[in-house]
This record gives sequence, structure tokens and C-alpha cells, in this order.
Amino acid sequence: MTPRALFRFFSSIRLTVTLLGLSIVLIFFGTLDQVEFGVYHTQQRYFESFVAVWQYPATWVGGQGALSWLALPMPGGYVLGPMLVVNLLCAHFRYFRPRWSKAGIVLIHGGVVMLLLGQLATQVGQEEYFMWLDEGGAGNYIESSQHSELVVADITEPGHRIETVVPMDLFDDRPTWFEPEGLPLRLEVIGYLRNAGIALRKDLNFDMGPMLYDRGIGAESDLVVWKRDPTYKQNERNVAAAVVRVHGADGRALGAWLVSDSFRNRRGDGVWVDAYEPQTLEYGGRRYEVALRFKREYLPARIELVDFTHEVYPGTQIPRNFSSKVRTVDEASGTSRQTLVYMNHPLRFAGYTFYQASFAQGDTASMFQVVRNPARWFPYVSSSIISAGLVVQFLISLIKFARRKGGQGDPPKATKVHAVAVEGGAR
Amino acid sequence: MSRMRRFAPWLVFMGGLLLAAGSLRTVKPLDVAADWQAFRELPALEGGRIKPLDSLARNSLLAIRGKSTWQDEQGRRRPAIEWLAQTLLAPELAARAPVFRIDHPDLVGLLDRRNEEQKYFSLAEIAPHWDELAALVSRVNPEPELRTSFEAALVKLGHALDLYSGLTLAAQPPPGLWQDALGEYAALEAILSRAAAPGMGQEADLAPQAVALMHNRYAQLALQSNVSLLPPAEDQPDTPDNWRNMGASLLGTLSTGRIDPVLQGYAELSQAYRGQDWDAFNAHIHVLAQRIEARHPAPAVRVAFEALFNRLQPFVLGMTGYVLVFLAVCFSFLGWTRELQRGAFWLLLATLIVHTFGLAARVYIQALPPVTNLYSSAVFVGWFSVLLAVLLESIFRIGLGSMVGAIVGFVTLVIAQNLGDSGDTMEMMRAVLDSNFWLTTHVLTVTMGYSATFLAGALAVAHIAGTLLKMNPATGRALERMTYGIVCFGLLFSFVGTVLGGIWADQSWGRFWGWDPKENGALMIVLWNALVLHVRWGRLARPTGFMQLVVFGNIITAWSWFGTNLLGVGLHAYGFTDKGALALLGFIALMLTVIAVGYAIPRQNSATAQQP
Repeated sequence: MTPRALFRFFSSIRLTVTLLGLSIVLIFFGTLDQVEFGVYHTQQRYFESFVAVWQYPATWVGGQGALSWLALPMPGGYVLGPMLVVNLLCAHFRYFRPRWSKAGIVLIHGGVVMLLLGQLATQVGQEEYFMWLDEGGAGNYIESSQHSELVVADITEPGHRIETVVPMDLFDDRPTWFEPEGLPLRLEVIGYLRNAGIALRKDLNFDMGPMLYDRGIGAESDLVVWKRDPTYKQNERNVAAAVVRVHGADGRALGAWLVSDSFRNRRGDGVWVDAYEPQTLEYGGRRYEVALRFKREYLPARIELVDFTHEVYPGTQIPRNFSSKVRTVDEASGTSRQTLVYMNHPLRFAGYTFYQASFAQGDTASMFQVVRNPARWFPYVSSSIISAGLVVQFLISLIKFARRKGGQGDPPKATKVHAVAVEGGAR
Repeated sequence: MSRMRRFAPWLVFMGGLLLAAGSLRTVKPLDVAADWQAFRELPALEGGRIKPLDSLARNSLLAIRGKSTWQDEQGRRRPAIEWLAQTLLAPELAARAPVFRIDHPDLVGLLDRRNEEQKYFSLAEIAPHWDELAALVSRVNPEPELRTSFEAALVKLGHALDLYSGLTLAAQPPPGLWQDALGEYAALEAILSRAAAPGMGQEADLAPQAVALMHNRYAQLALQSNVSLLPPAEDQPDTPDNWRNMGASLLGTLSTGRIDPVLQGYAELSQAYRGQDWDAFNAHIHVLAQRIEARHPAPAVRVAFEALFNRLQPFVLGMTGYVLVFLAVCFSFLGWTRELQRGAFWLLLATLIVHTFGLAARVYIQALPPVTNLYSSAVFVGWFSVLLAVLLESIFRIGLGSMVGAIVGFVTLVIAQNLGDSGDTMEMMRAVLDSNFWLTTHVLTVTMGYSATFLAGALAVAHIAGTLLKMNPATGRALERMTYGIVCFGLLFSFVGTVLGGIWADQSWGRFWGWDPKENGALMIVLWNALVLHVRWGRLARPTGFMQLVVFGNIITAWSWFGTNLLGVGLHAYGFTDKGALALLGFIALMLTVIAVGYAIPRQNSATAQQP
């Protein structure tokens, strides 16, 4: 293919139509799969990937047998998005003639390119967290429901914690060594499971064999752990677990611990499960706590939940409003302010958006979904540009249409851009 | 003959109006001497909003019986309000009314009947099987998706019985030690006055025990009914939260010593109703209405208006109107074309006015924007489509705008009717959606996008049909231009609506786009309209091919509107049924058939509408 033919191909309107059609197919199957895999996973598989494969669901008729082979590959969002941008830009350079009647088209296409870029920036840069607060309680960090971290905290001095954190994203599917700075310990993560089943050995009626850990809760309570497929359903959550062997600075192994975010955490329904005491070890005259938890992000201020209310319409169970009265306290500057977070009215703070997402414990605990999106302003600008373009083009068409009113004459030629495409030899 | 021809438009118009008005048959009450109109307008708080007893009657009967009228034991068709009067005022009569619709053959068999013999059952017929039913209901699968059809029928019957029992406990306590409610209230006041003045002998010592017993009784009753008939007391703010149901009011009596005059009024009304003393009945209603209005003055107009709205049934009238418009345009192709089409256009305008009145009435009654749930979205989609069709017809004057608009208007009203037959169509908004500004902007523009895409799809169906029937080329070209214009409208509205939704999402949840099924559905409409327009601009298809694509837009819009609700995931997943799923599949099959038929059109035939 000559560069000229390549340019012809990338600027052709047939490509536009094909890409639009493929986008619709991708979105359709990316919607269908949400029943099975939830929004988060589907988004990654379809819209944040180069190739997506839709598999005939096992739960449908014939899904276990006759139709189980049926799988449909299709280009993913990371192919279609850039292709559309390239197509638009090429077409623009190929056909653009400065003419007022096409001002709207240029605006629309420019806005679409910007919208697609903004979506890419969002997909790359957006982070989601959550935060549980009890009435009267406060917190200064938010947690990620998708990522875990290993924490070793020096708790030698009462009331004082020095935390060292290892993100579990760094785990390499085989025993991985970590030597955090400032910690006289070396950590060897032998295994990490994104979703684990954990049970007391005596509760199982078959033998699971020996486990890798010899210290802490896992050994004392004789727990067994096995791997489970990660779940992406909205009403289920993964239980992460890891086995970490701790070595002294001299290389001597101090033992292996089982850690899991389910040992001491708040479940999805908001209830604290304090099944076990924190796991501790002593080395070099200092005491350390070792644990696995949701990855934390610390805020520059403390947030207190003053009051949570949940109203229903009288005589019904239909929720009328959920609201949390919160106070943000900035200790450094000593300032504090009170805000009411309720439906459609989130708290924007330190670059994060906190919105009311859930509640528990007889309306005394509140959960906030927390989102950070640096590309937030993109869609606002781009969609304003597109809307302006649509209105301009629409008015131009309307004026022409009104002039030719009466059913006579030519079919509308409101936009000649692509008609030129045909004359220009795209066929 | 020519004079007749000149008057033809008027004949069509007036005849249509008369026929449509004639279609509005109201069911006559049996007890003609009672002032049902006044009874209908008494207010009640149910489902979170204050509504006339007329709406309570119709919606409850719809939920229980599937229709808003009923037939008594003698097979006489009677209005819902008479059934409600029985249920509220004389439950022993209502127990004999066959109003529980049971379709599942196994469930009918459980009641010792044959499925083909009987569909409607009275409480008296169900009651002997109470224990068996209760045992079965307790074992129903808690996961709604995993229930068998029998279990689903059981749960449905259970809900109907709950609703019914809540109504029987709305106006007066069930029979206790006393003959009727008046007897109970007199005894209660006597007991309370004695308890308040102790030391009057042996009887007085028993009074506190009696009060404790009554307390238990009323506390139970307060939990058993979701219908509140008693407006806020004089010293309370007039908000829905301060309405009381019968049990709660009597609990209050235990501390105040005074029966609520409204409750007393209902007991007197009940006595008159049981005695069929219609003069007394009517007199008591008026006293009751005055007592209520004294405490709850403001929305009385709104409640009365809702009763009027129920009676006028503008959407039923609208359906008839659209059918007549369609017929008139069909006949116009046989002869007297211009005259009949002019009459049809006037009739379409009149029907649109009725449709608009219905829409506006709902907005006034609910004090919310017109689209709040699937039902109202159907009403709105139809309304806006017809509005666009009227614009088209006033420009092109070839009858097809009226015809296609009438089809879309009729079909969407039928859809609405079917979506609305499970109860109150003016239910309260769930918290997540309760935001008037965004409901107005985002939801309305997205729904307008649906309207335009459907109307374009219907025009395209007409084009394909017309090409097969060898319509004249000028008509074909006009249809093309109409379709093209409406697709442009569709792109504009669906895009702006989708973006407004994104802005709402960003304002509310901090993210512009979440790949939620409904968002994706809206985006699919935008992309499809863009695709269709690019095909036309690039001249990549012959006119019939373009029309086939536009017809496929119907499928995409139907998926976006209803299909995504079937998935049951995401923020927008609200109420839809299996019956709806079948209808959706039927619609998709029909559209695919039309597209397939388009392929049967030979190329030279469609070339009549070829572009220059």
C-alpha cells in the first residue's frame, strides 16, 4: 500500500461508518457482559483493551453444551478510539475547505476528537476508592477496593505507629522479595491471592495438606487457604490473602505469616469483623504488626461523620434521601468546615469527589464512594463544542430546508464534506 | 356531491371527536343515590403521596385484579370506587367480591377450582386455604430470579392480599369486642375517662389494664396498614410525614383521650353505608370533607383534579383519536385525498391537545417533570413524536406525517397502558433520581431522542411499504427528506441528552461516564444516528438501504429504552417484566422482517427515488 492509498483508507467515510458500527457492537456486548462480570471487569475487558472476546454465557440456553464454543472476538476500545481519531483527522485534512456552511461540522468533529482523548485520559487517570465512617467517628484515609497492600507497622511505643507499606501490585506471581527502606526486616511474599477461600481446617471434611505458614493466626487457628477466581459481581467482594515470610537483617527467617484483608476489616455490609487480634512479631527489641489491607490513600485532612440520616416516603420503603453531615478538619491550619453530603450533592475535597454510596449498622454508618479524575473538565469543554456544532449545523440545514420547502428540488445537501469525498475518488 | 366534498374535512373532524368521546364509557355505579363524586375526592396518603380515594381505588384494583373496574358476585360491572367503599367501610361485604385475579393453574387448583372456570376469586373463597397458602409462601425462594412460575404467582397473590388487608384496616378497626367502630370508640372514651379519674371503685382499677390491652391492639394495627386517611392535627405542620393511619391515630387517642373527628367521621360513614342510608351517607361525606379540609387545606384542589383526571382518561381518548386519524389517512388514499387528509390533520391536532392535557395534568398532580418512570417515558415519547409529526405534516401535507405520527402515538400509549397496569403510575421518585433540574434536562432530552429515532424508524417503515406499493416518486422523495430531517433531530437530542446525563453523573458521582447499561444504550443511539447520517452523506447506500438502516434504529432505541432494564444491573435498572421482554422480542422480530422485506425491493424500483 502506498502512503497515498493508506491516507485514502484512513480518511474514507467507509472507515467512519465501519468504526461506528464496530463501536456499537462493542458497546452492546460490553453491556451484555455486565450481568455476568459486573461493570468494573467488563470495562477493562471491552473498553480498556485492544481486543475483546465475548463468550456465549454458560448460564444461557445451551451455554454448557452445544453453544459453549461460541465466542465473538471484536476490536476493543483502545483500537476503535484511536482509529476514529485518526480517521477524523485524516478526513479533515483531506476535505477541509474553509467555508461557513461547514463550520458546524468542524466543531462537531473537533469536539469528538477531544471527547475521545478525554475518555482516554479518564480511563488512565481515574482512581476509585471508598471510605466508611461511623457516626461520631473520623478518618483520614480512603481505601481502594481493587488493590491491596502489605503493611508492617512498628508499634513499639504505645499510641504510636510507624507504617511501612508494600503495594501488592508489585507481587510477581512467584516469591518476591521486598526490602523497604528504614525497616530492619526483609519481606518475602511467598504467595498472594486476589481472592481466597479461608476456613478452619477442622471445618472441612477433607484434607487440604500442609500450609506454608508457621506463625500467627494461620498456624495457631490452623486455617487453610485456597485460591478462588476473582469475582466481579456487584454484591460480592474478593478476599485477598498473602503468605509473607519475614527475615531479619541478618537473613535469618523469623517465620511465615498468613495475612488477609478479611482478618480485621469492615465487610461489604459495613460490619467490622474483628475475628482475630492483630498479628505481631518482635525483632531487635521492637514490636511489629504485620497485616494485609485495602490500599490506602491518605488525605490532607480528617473527615468526621457528624450524622447520617436515611429518610423514606411516609408509609413506604421507597428511599427519599440519604445524607451524611460531615466535618472536614484540617489540623495543620486548624480550619474545619461542615458539609451535607447527599444524593446528587457530593463533597469535593482535595481533588477527590466523595459521594453518598451506602449505609449500614442501623443508619449509624455511612459509606462514601471516592473518585479522583484529573481529566474531569475534558467532557465539559468537548461536549459544549460538539453541541454548539450540532446546533450551528442544524440551523444551517433548517434554513436551507425552509428555502426549499414544498417537496420540490434536490435532497438536502446540508453537509457536502463527504459528498466531496465521493467525487474526490474514494470509490 | 361537491358540497359534501367541501365539508369532508369538517365531517372527519367532528365525526372523529364524537366517536372518540363516545369511546369513553364510564361504568355506572350500582348505588346511584350515593354521592360518589364527593367520596372519590376524599384524600388519602399512600405510596408516599396524597391522592384521592378514587386513585387509591383504581390503583389498588389494578394491582389486585389487573383492571380498574370489577364485577360483583352477580356479574355486574361496577366502578373501583364502590369496591373501595366496601373494603374501607364494610369489609364483610368486600370479602365476597371476586377481585383477586389468579392465573396460575396450580394455584387455582389449590383453591379447589378449575382454571378454565374461574379467574377471579373473593377473599371468602381464598380464606379456607389460608394456612396452606401461608405455609407455601414461607417456603418461596428468596431470590426473585430463581422463583418458579408457581412461586411467582404465590408471591403475587401474597402482595395482593397484603394490599387488600391494609385497605380493610385503613378506616376502622377490625371487629373486636364491640359491634362496630362506633361502639369501640365509645367504649374507648369511657375507659380513658375512668382511667384518668382513679379511685372510683372496683371498675376504675381495671381501667389501666384495659388501656394496656388497647395499646397492644392499636400498636399492632398501626403496623398493618400503609394507607393513612387522617391528615395532620391542627397544631402540626401540614406535611405528608404527619399523616396518620387508623392504628396510629387510636394510639394517640390513648394519650389525648379524644377520638380523631375524621376517624369518627369514617365510622359514622361506615354505619350509614352498611345501613344503605344514602342521605346520611352523603351528609357524613360532606362533614368529613370539611373536617379534613380544615386541617389540610392546600392540596384539596390538586386531589380533586386528580379525580377528574382519572375520570377523563385522556390517554384512552388519545388512543382512540390516533386510530381514527390513521383510518382517515388510509381512506384518503382511495379518494378525496386532500379533504380527508385535512380532516385527519385537524383530528391529529385535537388528539395531540388531549395528549398534552394528560401530560400536563400529570406534571401538575405530581409536581415533577413529565418523565419519572418507564410509564411516563412512554407517554412522553409518544407525545413528542406526534409533535414532530405535526410539524412534518404542516410542511409536507402528504398525509404520511399524520399517519406515521398517529401510529407512533397509538403504539406508545398502548405500551404505557401495559406498563401502568401494575398500580400507581405516579409513584414517588427514588432518592437517586430525585433531582428536578436533571430530570427535566437530561431525561427529557434523552427521551426526545428516543421519540425522534422512533419517528424516523416509523417513516422508514412507511417508505419501504410505500416503495413496495409503488407510491409515486415525489412522495418517496418527500418521505426521504422527512426521515433525514428527523434522524438529524434524533442525533441532536440523543447526543445532548447523553452529555447532560454525563454531566449529571459527574456532578453527582464524580464521574462523567461509567459504562452503565442505560448510558451505553443512549450512546448506541447517538452512534447509530451518526452512522446512518454518514452513510447518507457518503452516499454509501441506495434510498431503500438508508431506510433499512433507519428501521434498525428502532431496534437500537427499543434496546436502549427497555432492553437495558431487563439486564437488572446499574443505576437505571427500574421495574420491568417478563411480559415486556416478550413484547420487546416481538418488536425486534417485526423490525427485522421489515428490513428483510426491504431486500425484496428490486434496484430499478427504488431508483424512482434515486438522488439526482
